[in-house]
Parts: sequence; C-alpha cells; structure tokens
Amino acid sequence: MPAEGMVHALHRAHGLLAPGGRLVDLHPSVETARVDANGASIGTLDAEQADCRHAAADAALARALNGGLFVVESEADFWFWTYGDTIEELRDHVHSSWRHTRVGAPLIARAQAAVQADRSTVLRIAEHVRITRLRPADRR
Amino acid sequence: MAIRRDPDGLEVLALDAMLPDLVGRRVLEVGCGDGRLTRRYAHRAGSVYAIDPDPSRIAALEADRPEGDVAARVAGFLDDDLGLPEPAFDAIIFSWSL
Repeated sequence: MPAEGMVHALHRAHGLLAPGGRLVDLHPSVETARVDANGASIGTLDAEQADCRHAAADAALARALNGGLFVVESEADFWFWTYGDTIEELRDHVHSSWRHTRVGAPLIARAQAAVQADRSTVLRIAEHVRITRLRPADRR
Repeated sequence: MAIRRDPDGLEVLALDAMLPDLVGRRVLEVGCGDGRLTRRYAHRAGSVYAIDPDPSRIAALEADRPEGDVAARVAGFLDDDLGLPEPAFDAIIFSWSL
C-alpha cells in the first residue's frame, strides 16, 4: 500500500467495522530483516525502501491514534522466521516475493562460509513483527 | 526441502491472542497474499473475505483453498469497489499490508 494511502486505509477500516469490531494490524517493525546462521545474525538484508515503508506504516498508525480514530487495546511482537536449505534458496525467495528488498553479495558470502564451516548450519530470515489490536475510539 | 515460512506458527499464535473468539465472526483480511495466514485461522471464523491486489497470489490461495467459508478477490483496499459481501465486519486484519 502506498504510504500516502495508509491513513486513508485506516479511515476506511474504521468505517467498515461493525459495532464491537476490531482492527488487527500486522506489519514488520523498522528493525531490518536479517539472516541467521544457527540462530545468530550474520547480517541484514538490503531493505532501505522496505524499512521506510514500515516506518510509514508506524507513522500512519500514530496519526490515526493521535487523531482520535482508534485506540490501541493490545500490542505484541513476534519473530517471523523463514527457513531455507541454502542461502541461494532464501535469496531467490526474497527476490521473487519481497518488494524493494535484496540479499546482498557480502551476506551471501558470509552464509556460504558458515555452511562450508559446518554443513549442518541452519539458515533463516528473521523478521521482527508488531501486531496491534485497535478499537474505534468512538465505540466500545 | 522448500522454503518454510513460520513453521512454528508464531504468527497465528499472535493473531489468536488478539482475536481469541472468531467463531461466527465476519472477517475481512486485507493483503491476504497466497493465503498463508488465512489458512491458519479461517476454519475458526464465521466467514472470511480476503483481498489482495496481486492476481497471482489470489490464484495461489485458490489453488490451495483454506478450510471454511472463504471468498477471495483481486482488489486493493483503496479501490472504489471492493465488492464487499457485508456492509460491516467484526474483524479486519491488515495482513502485512499497511
């Protein structure tokens, strides 16, 4: 969703909620997605534009809260992990399904070195995600 | 082996904590993608209307339809005509779409 449309989307959601209805938003935090080898980070993805988009989502939510559209009832964080057998598999997945994000050559090299040193190395992409439940401020 | 996304199901656990009672509820999921999350909760909901602007992702959802009363459509949330089957929903989920 374009950044300029996010506030409009929140207004639209507000209008589509039945009495007692709730909006739940999930989106990655501004913490840049990274690649883990055996659970330890070996570097972040090239995701400057994606990070800007996540920041824009945070800003849109803040505007909706400050503007009295919604109130936060609950929020939490979780990790979303994507596993692949090889760094090339993870790279291809990112390139085909994520917009504005790439797995850079230095990170690929570090992952390959980790696997070369230990064939049982488990590779994954780690994304930090925020989930928020919102109630229309003018309703219970 | 293929790519495994969230094999531990942490995403749906977090969603369950936010929406513990979906029985009989009308849900609009915005940005459903290929139905990854939809498949994990739709069977508990009354009905789910899932939209995504990417036709290939809606096709992927349809190819492996979630259990439950699920209707999927190619649409962006800011489109003029969302073709909504309901005037209002008990829950709206912005699924990584904001």
